[in-house]
Amino acid sequence: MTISNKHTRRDALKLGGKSALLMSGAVLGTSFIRPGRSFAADALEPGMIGGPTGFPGAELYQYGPDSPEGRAIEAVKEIVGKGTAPKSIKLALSEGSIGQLTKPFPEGAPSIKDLWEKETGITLDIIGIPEGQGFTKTIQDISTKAGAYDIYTLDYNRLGDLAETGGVVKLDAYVEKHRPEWDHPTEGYVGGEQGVSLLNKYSGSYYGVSLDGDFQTWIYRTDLFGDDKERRAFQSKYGYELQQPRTWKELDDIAAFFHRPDEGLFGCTDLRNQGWGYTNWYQRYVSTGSPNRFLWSDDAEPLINSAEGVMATQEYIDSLDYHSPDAISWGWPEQYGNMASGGTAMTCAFSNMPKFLDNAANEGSKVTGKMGSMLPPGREIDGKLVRRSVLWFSLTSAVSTQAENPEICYLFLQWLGSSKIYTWMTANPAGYFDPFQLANFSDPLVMRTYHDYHVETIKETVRRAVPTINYPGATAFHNALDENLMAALTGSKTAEQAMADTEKQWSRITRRTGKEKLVAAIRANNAAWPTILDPLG
Amino acid sequence: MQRSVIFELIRYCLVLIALFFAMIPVFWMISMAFKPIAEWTASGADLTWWPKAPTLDNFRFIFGQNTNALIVELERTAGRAILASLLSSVIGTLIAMVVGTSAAYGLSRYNYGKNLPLALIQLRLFPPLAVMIPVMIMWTFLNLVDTWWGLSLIYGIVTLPFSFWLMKTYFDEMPKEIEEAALVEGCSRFRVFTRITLPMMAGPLASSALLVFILNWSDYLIALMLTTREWVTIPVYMASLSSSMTGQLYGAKAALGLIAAIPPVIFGIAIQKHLVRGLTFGALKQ
Repeated sequence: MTISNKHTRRDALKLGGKSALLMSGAVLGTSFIRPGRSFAADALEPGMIGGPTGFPGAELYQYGPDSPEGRAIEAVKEIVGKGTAPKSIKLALSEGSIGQLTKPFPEGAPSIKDLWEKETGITLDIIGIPEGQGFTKTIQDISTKAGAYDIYTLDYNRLGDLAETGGVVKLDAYVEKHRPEWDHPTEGYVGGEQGVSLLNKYSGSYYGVSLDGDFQTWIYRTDLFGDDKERRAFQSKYGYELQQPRTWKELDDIAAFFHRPDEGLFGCTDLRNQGWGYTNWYQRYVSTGSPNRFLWSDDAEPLINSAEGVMATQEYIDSLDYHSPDAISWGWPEQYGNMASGGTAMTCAFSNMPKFLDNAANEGSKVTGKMGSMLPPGREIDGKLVRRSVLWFSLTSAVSTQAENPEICYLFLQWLGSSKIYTWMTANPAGYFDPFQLANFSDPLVMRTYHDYHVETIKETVRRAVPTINYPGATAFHNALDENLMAALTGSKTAEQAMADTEKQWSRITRRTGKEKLVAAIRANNAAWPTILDPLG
Repeated sequence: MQRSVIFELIRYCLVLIALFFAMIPVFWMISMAFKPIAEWTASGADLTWWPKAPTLDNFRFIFGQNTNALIVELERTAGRAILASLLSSVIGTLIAMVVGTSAAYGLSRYNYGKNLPLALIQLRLFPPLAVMIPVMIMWTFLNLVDTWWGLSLIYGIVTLPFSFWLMKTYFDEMPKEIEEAALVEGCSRFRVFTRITLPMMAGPLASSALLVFILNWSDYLIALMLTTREWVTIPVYMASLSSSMTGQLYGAKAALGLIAAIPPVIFGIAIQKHLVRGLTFGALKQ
């Protein structure tokens, strides 16, 4: 065997070509994987390290290194650099919300998913969950240890039940380390620390990151309320001016006035079905006291079996007169569909209803340009008006204990739930996530999507919203109330029986859950109730 | 005895009335499938029996094409759900029929394990949800969740009691003398089963298979719990067809419902010859 040392011109060219290819590959490659470089970094404002680009006003959503978003991204890159990061994180999300993460908004922007993946190199694997199946799927994943999801997303008041299963990670250490600033005085949650505690904490510890603001908001039809003929007819029938109802009595009058099923118009369509309807009972009940009528005393005794509880229930039953004949089977899809077809004068829904239905792009909607929003009706007590709404559903994400790297999952949630990214996301009309942070309410994109008239209403509704039950046994407590209210609506129980039976069942669940465990949670919940009162005029 | 003309008229009228009411939902589904969004719901005088402006938009929409009226976009299309339903239902039916028929024949002819027939039905004695919890744990442990084979297997298992009991009744009714004659002639028991018994059972087999297929095809609960994304079936997918823009996507649901009705109908027509015989097999005692 001989070894030739002779190098030809062709070999030299080959070697040169390969070297050039390798060099250019290395240069290009490092420019993509260089730590600290973010999506379209060249288009970022000076001092910013990340955030969206490509549309006018994008700088509003860009962030510097010492911000909740920046710290989250930098921490992720550090973990990626150490080689301990997973290739992807699996996020369970209700199907109707996915668009806000996957569809670019506004024109020219990247999607949230694209931005995250470009900035961190970690794939965001979003797994859609059918509506209403979030809790079932989550408990299924925890109890079977399937590990199908790294991050669960479900209604905020299940957080206590979820934490008790041991299937979600306590986030205290991560919150302390990465400082999400959820209680920021001008950009954070409404109510500051109290709001954070309500939405993200259970029993004094962080278990969730709020991604929604389902403060139930009242909507009315401006075309009907502004019609001179209707106004005159209402005045002559009820003796006072047709205007946005301030009290439940006025709401009942106006709804009865507009209830014309033969013309395809119902008076009001606030929900009465199982699983959703009781939020509208809540509003009537909690406004019977000033500043509030609690569901529970501070020592965990139910208060609903009272004259006020029975009155609210009776009103709730009587209001069926101006609803659809099949109101007890209507969920939000029927409610939204009906409003889109111009089928009601008023309703109470998630704050996103005008975003979807007062929307020129929604050619199927007959109420575009005809919607207005208003504060919840209330009751006159001691010369003041007690108006109360309710926080219901409101999606919150929690990190699974089965996640490969829980810290990365938390960091993703800190980034997504931060005031800049969340504001940008909630303005996107492709999903359900609604505004709830102070920063959201003054944002131009949010104002554009949700409309000027509505954003102010949402903000004021948030200030008047009470939380639903969010302590251990929340599901059982709500089910008991729900079943008895449904029995009252169908006539198989009187209002008195329904309240008495609910009280009995709540007492039984309290004994089973442990009164000591509940007392602290109930006190924390009661402390988060609003005290704002409105003038009568 | 000759029946009077009036009696026959009343009889036919009653049948027609019953048929009319039975067909209303089917007709409504077909009509809805071709209605544009403006005609889906009862807003004023818009609700009609026939589509005023028939369209194929609902079908285009569920298969992922953007339409003018439906501005919502689906995260996933119906094609995969149809494939998942077809695959799991067909294989589940095959499993249930092969195992059920073999077990039914064995028990009918050999009389072994007198308690076995009852044991086989125990899966159906409890509420499905109670059985599903341990099944979920097992399926997770075996990595069968959200796989077509996992879904096929559970469909085969839960419909096995139906196929077994139906086929056992048919085998019990079938005269044993024919088989005995073949055995005397030197035919093996297996050959008797495959060459004589099964051909005679074509009708019962077809009707049982159709019933089992429909059970699998229309399942919601099992598929909801044992699938997450890849192998979601038609009923689960259909439940997700709603949006904040429009409420329930009635037209899209109806279009998918219409498509979902096709396989059982084709199956029924294909085995029509055997179906009547299968359904009446053993109705008359010898």
